[in-house]
Amino acid sequence: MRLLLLLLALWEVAGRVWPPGPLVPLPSAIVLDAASLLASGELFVHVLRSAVRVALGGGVGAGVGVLVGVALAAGGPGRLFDVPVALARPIPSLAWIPLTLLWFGVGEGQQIAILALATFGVVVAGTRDAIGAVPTAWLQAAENLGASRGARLGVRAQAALPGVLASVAEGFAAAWFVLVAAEFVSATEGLGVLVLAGRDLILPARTFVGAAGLAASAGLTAWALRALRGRLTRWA
Amino acid sequence: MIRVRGVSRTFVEARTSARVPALDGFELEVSRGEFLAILGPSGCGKSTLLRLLAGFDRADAGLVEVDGAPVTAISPRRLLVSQDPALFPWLTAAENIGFGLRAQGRADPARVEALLVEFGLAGAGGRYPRELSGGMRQRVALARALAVRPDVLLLDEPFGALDALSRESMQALLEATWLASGATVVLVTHSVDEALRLADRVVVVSPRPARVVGSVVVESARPRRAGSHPELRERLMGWAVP
Ligand SMILES: Nc1ncnc2c1ncn2[C@@H]1O[C@H](COP(=O)(O)OP(=O)(O)OP(=O)(O)O)[C@@H](O)[C@H]1O
Ligand SMILES: [Mg+2]
Repeated sequence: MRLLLLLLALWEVAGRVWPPGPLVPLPSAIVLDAASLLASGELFVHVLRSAVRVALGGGVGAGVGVLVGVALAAGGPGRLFDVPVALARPIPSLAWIPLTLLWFGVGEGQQIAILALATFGVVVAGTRDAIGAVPTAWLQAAENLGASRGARLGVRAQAALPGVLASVAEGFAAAWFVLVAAEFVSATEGLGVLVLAGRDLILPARTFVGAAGLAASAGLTAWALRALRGRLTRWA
Repeated sequence: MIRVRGVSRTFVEARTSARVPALDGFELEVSRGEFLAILGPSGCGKSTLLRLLAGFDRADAGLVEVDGAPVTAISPRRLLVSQDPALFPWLTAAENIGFGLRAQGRADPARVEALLVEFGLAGAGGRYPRELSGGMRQRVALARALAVRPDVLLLDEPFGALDALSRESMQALLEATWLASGATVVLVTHSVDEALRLADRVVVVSPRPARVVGSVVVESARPRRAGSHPELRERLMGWAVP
């Protein structure tokens, strides 16, 4: 933190001594821009809009991801999903823009779909792996003690829970990561919009404000999900 | 009655694909209600044998029979307390002990409470396994097994992590429980004294693949004092491989 402040101070001083021109913002300009956005309440609206999108997209992606991940881990017909999921994973979110535009049209649905896809990819793999990694020793011990099939599924679920929750957190991180791509097409408000404003409105300081807002929001989400995970898996 | 006839189990080492015969034509009989102790060098196949008896693993060849029926599945009537306690980390000590009863639809908090006290775990019932010492975990594992009153109790070095004093009291507890229940016990141990203290019969097995190389019957009255039977001790040590 102190190092960061020092770096910013150096940047500021260097910028005053050798002015870099209007395309490279100084820290003071970024702070001023952030302050004005904050004062007008605009920043809050941007953060809120993005947060709602991430909550919806991430929520849908994580929910479906857990379900499909469970199906994959269960084997049988669930394995049908294995190949498509594996093939789709490395495709970057930007590449989904055309398809999501076709399917959802221009608007909120398309943006949320991008976020959901990013989250889904992470959560489906994480859930499948977490369930697959449950030690047989626990399942055998449970069966030995007389646990029915259903009760053994409960054991499996409990044992996999920390891994599943970790992958959900990763999934939400992925949603924040692709937010700019999601808001690229049609959003008028959002942290991604602030980032893009650097180019669209030639306000380079605003890009930095947006980036800082993204980092802070992603960090806050990670912190909240970690707290939730700690609460749900106190035993771990 | 446990009958093991010509049982072989060979593992394949993952990295080298080398074949590792843990058991090869193993023979053993244990009468109903008998307390049998097995002594043998590390890595000879004792845990493998118990896992076969519990139905956790299958023999490649031979017959594993309990009460006249071949062992084909895991069953709560044959309970294995494995070397690594395998407690459920998301359940407290008390919940672990009550797991079997609850799973079988006969939850019994009073019995769990009694077991906690008997096993010196009073006050630790609310702790998660990671908050217990190694010895406490072993005691929870044993209590969890005894809670469901199995016909056959398969114990794989259940007291390995205990100090001498609690080992002593756990042995007494195991003996009392066994006497009261009439269960058949197969106890794998590294301690000759423990074997002589508890068992009706002690068998010594060879290095891998395990084979029974000798067996003594311990006939003296219970409870036995530590260090009794120097002559049996001599015979058992004579079979041990240096
Ligand atoms: N799943 C496995 N895969 C490969 N080899 C195995 C496996 N399980 C056991 N073995 C090997 O089989 C042999 C017997 O193992 P086992 O665990 O039965 O020994 P043990 O007599 O219980 O030893 P210890 O007294 O140290 O617990 C060992 O050489 C071990 O390396
Ligand atoms: Mg062993």
